[in-house]
Amino acid sequence: MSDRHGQRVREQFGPSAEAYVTSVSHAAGADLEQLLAWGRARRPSRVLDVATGGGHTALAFAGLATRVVAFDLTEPMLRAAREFIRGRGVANLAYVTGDVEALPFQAGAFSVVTCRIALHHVANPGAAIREVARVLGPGGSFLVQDILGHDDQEIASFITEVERRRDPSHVRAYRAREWKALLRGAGLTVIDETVLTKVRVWDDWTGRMRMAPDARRALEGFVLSAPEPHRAAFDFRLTDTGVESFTDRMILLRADKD
Amino acid sequence: MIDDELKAILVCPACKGDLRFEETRIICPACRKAYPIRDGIPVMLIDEAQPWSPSA
Repeated sequence: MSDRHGQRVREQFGPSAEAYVTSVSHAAGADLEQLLAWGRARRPSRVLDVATGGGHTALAFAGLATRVVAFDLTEPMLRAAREFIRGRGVANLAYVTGDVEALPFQAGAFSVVTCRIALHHVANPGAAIREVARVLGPGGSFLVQDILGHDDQEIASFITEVERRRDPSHVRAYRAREWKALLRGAGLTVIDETVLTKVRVWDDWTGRMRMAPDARRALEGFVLSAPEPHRAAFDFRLTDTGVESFTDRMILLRADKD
Repeated sequence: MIDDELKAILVCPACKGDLRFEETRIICPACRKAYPIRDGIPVMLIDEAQPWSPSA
């Protein structure tokens, strides 16, 4: 990751660390349950949770693995995750700050690597996924979840603009075929795949990133002035004065190392 | 505090070489870099590493 983009991610997520720890949409849900089901079947010894954020995925996997490493680019995020997990009787978790594009782990060190809703922040996803593949042992599984890119170019541009106005460290979401190409390029084969929807409650979604009221109003104006089919693609629900919610599609993939 | 289990799998993010663990920092002798340990958490970011030389 370039230093500048990495800095942007750290600036964005450092002050929001606490909001990610308490985020209900990150702590539980059908998406996390699906990843856990895939993970459980692998009976993993060592798990790496990349971009652990509030630490929810790392904590959940600590219940089914011998050992979990919670990994994040942002130091305050990792400290907040540790604070959240401390006192929950979990003794098999370790914390490391670093960049997914240059992982500080031995080749083959992990039987499972997880990464939830994060690779759209990475400047070079190809490099990141190659690093994930490097630290996986033979037959190891990468369990990845992210926002699914829209197939229509104009609609994809619309939602990317919405995302970037909320969070300047957002790069973009990838389409299903792009995910498969990225994984394949790193020597990982897709074994399982599913798409789930996730409702984003506007107040919660914009609040987590500490959007200023005027920036938020401007973003609502942008959404309201967009062509109706653009909004319909994400099921934007409007109120009299603004936006109530929208719906993201999430892609979940299990890809195994050859 | 970094336990032995973690020490066994940590490598330098730049050269993937073996590391030497000290109280407050982690040394990569090959790259001559020292990675800080802050609040007990290893900070394995290449741009956060300090130059290190064997005599220091």
